[in-house]
Amino acid sequence: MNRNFVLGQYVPGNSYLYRLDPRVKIISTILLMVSVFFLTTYYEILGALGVILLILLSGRISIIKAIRGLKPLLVLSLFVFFFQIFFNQTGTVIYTSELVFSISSIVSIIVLTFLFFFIRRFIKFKFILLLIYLASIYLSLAYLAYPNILYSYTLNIFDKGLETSLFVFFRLITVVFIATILTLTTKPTDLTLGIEYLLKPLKVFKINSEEIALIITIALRYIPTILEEAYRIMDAQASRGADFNSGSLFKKIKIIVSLLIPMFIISFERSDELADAMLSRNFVPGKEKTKYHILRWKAIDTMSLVLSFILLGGSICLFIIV
Amino acid sequence: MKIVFDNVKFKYEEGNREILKGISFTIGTGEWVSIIGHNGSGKSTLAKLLIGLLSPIEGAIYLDDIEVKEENLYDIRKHIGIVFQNPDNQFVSTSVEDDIAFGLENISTPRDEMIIKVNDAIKAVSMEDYRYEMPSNLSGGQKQRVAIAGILAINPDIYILDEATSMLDPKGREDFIKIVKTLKEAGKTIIMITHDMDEALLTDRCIVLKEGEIVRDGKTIDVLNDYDLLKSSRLEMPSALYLYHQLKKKNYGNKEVLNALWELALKK
Repeated sequence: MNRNFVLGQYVPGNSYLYRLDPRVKIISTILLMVSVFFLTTYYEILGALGVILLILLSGRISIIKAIRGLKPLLVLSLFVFFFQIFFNQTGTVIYTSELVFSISSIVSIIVLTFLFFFIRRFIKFKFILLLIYLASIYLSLAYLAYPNILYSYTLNIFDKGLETSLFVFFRLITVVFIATILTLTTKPTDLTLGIEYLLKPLKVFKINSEEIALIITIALRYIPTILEEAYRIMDAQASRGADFNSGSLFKKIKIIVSLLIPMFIISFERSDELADAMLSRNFVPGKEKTKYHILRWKAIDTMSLVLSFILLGGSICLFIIV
Repeated sequence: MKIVFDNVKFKYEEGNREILKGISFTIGTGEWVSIIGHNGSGKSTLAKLLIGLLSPIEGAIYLDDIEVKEENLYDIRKHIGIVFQNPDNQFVSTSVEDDIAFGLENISTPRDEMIIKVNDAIKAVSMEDYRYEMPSNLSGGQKQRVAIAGILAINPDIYILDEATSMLDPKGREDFIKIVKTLKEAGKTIIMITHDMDEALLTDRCIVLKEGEIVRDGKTIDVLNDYDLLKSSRLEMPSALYLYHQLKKKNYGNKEVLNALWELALKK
């Protein structure tokens, strides 16, 4: 289990992306994401991906770190990709392959699955392993036909299907990249401050954006603390024989409950003490306060915002014309 | 500022045990007072009453002429700062400077002034290198220093330290006490709630609580020298005084102790 928990994905740096007002960054992120959804073909998406990569490069963000941000979505994007390839059957066939189920191929799949889950524990590049696993399943389905064929299926890949799957795949990647730019270059505190300013209009509905920002801040601040606490309790219970890593699902749930109960109690105590500390420092909810951090709008912010609008306008134009 | 407790009684609504059974005392400006007592003697309740987190069921608490009660709390809390026991549970913001600024923001300090005060407070507790650090990257001692810096920035007259060093390692404790000593020199009133007797020994005056009552209030050295009183209040003597009394019991004078020490040193 990963115990070196770092809050958010923020990587310290010093380029114009870092100096942008968080409000602009949040709005631009939303605008760019919306504009990606106006694009309809995969080469347009590739163009958009190019633009995003340009932004990344111009902001001196390492591409490797950005790609790392894709990690949680890799499996999903792979699934979407294959789903489209297999089930979108329009256009002309560009590739055909006979897939056969025989005793040998089924045995091979079972062995591969075992191997996959076994090796998975010891290997770092799980995604590459997954790709190898899928490829070898394909190979065994395509070539192992011994002793006799139980069932056969013809896999047809259509040109439209391939196009759509590439389109969906790249669109997902582009959207995640856009979000990554925001999270890599913005400190959680700045992000919260940006959200606070942007939610100010909600005052009309009697919603206090300062309080929302405070809630986010406290949540962010206590995540590492509470995680540390959880590990401490886990260690304490492991030293008394609890096993968090193996056992049936039911057993695992039972053990998680034994972790959750002390966590809840401790968290309630914590929140009581925190409330006391905040009150004694003269915190009065809803009262007008001054701010230590203020946001300053600069020329570059206006420029970025205009650029984002131009990109959005461009993609809407493409959408209407095509 | 003068603190007056006038026959203060307190009990929790749900409980029937009286936590404080009629406490009266006065603490003058610039005094350094320790409040000691066993667990459950009501010493932390005292602090919470003073800063208005709890309110007495009988009696009253005054700060100069202002009574500590609901409608005055905003002003009262500008004059009192409190550092609690757990360093983690009083750090509100995600960075050191933000946490120090928290109290200043609450009392609507103008921003230019706030920046100066935050800088000064950070310097006063020697946390300059950690200005932008997240609390999870700080040690307990550093967090407590930030907590006291947050109060320093507001510059109240009264500082309450509610077992503020009990979760710190020796180094953290030493650094913390150093800061408290500078406060004392600046003429601030300091109330130190503790069950570390060596720490209590630093103070000028000592109040001993036992089961919600004051059993002794006097010069620290006299109070902590009273072995029977401390024993009956379920407290221990400071280690230095304890050693002194043990030696005295065995009729060791200065000369005998000196000789014994020499013998020990020569044996090595």
